Amino acid sequence: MDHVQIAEKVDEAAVFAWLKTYISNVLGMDQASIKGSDGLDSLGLDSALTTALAMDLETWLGVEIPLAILFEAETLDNIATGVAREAERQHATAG
Amino acid sequence: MLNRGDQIAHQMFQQAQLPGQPRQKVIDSPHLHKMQRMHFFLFDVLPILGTACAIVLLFFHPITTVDLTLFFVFWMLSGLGISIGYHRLFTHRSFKASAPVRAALGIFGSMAGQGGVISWTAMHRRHHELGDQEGDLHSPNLHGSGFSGKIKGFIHAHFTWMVAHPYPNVVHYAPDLLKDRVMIWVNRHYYTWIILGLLIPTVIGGLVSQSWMGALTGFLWGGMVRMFIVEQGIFALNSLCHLIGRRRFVTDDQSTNISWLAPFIFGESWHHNHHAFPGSASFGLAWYRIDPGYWVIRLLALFGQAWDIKVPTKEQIERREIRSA
Repeated sequence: MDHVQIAEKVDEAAVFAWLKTYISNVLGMDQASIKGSDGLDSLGLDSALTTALAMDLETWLGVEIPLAILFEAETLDNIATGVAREAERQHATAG
Repeated sequence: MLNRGDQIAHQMFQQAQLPGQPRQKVIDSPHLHKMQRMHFFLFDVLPILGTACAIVLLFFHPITTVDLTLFFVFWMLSGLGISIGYHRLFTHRSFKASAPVRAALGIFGSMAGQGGVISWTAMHRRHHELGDQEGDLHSPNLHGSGFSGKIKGFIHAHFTWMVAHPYPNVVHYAPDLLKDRVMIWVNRHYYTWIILGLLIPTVIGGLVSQSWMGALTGFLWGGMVRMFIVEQGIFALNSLCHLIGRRRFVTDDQSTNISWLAPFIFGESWHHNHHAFPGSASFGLAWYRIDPGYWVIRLLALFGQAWDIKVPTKEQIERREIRSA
């Protein structure tokens, strides 16, 4: 199994790396073939799988992610940006 | 052994050096609730209205043999798709089947309008995990005691739980289906199968009778009424089969057997037997109990399309029975 890269600080790059690992594992895809410009739908994640991804992402980050970020974003890059921003915002308010 | 989803989660926890914090298994979200309300209206409320229209129409236009045939055929296909496919095969893995049979059962089951096969499987596995305890998506026994509590529980378990409900983590609950390319494909086209299930009886009704009225009654009987009947049968498992009826085994839940319902829902109402032996392809557990779902599995086996059919032995059944001290 591929190794998961987790950065010290959860930034866009770390979220993107997590998304790539998770999606490649769930769909049995080559991790290198997943690009930031890919959308969840075009990769083959329907709403059921996207919701599962959201739940595991929330557990990993320890913060609640509004599903709209995942469902409304066009690309993985957009998702990584939105999720990292949300995580930072929630950590700031909590701290 | 950890399943694939758990392996991923496990690895991520370890590398992130998180304390073994439990995985999130269900989620409530306004976004999902909106989708659920839409699904509920289209496929649970509309069939009721469609059935009412079909009944009113009977006063002006007598039912034809074509309508009855379309009703019967599509009731059988979608009902068996749920009972044999969604329930006994995909959720409980009680037998194995060839790829064409898996695809056909998944497609016919989808036509029942009870959700995509992966969602249905995940939710039903959660129901077995938590049977009649907090977190069970559709228990009639968590709404207070006494008669009014039972009535509230009945309405929830039979119908209203579907308006908005927690949604399960499919990677956690259905990792096996996510590895099956055939089922991923069937699941992705869920709405196409529903539309086909409504369109085919409409077209056949119109062509055979050479009339628009025939198309309308084909749609109503082969589409709306059969969807309504299959749904009411399956909903009765969630409500009646956890409220009234007989018990013969020791189980953690409050499931029951209702024998008179069995012919109308493909043997599914031996629901208590099923909770006692969830991995069994037979719900009747004896040849003399009406269990059409199991009979069709045996028929498929006869043609080499189903194999490894799991059924408990007489001894295994007997040792689970309730003994009066």
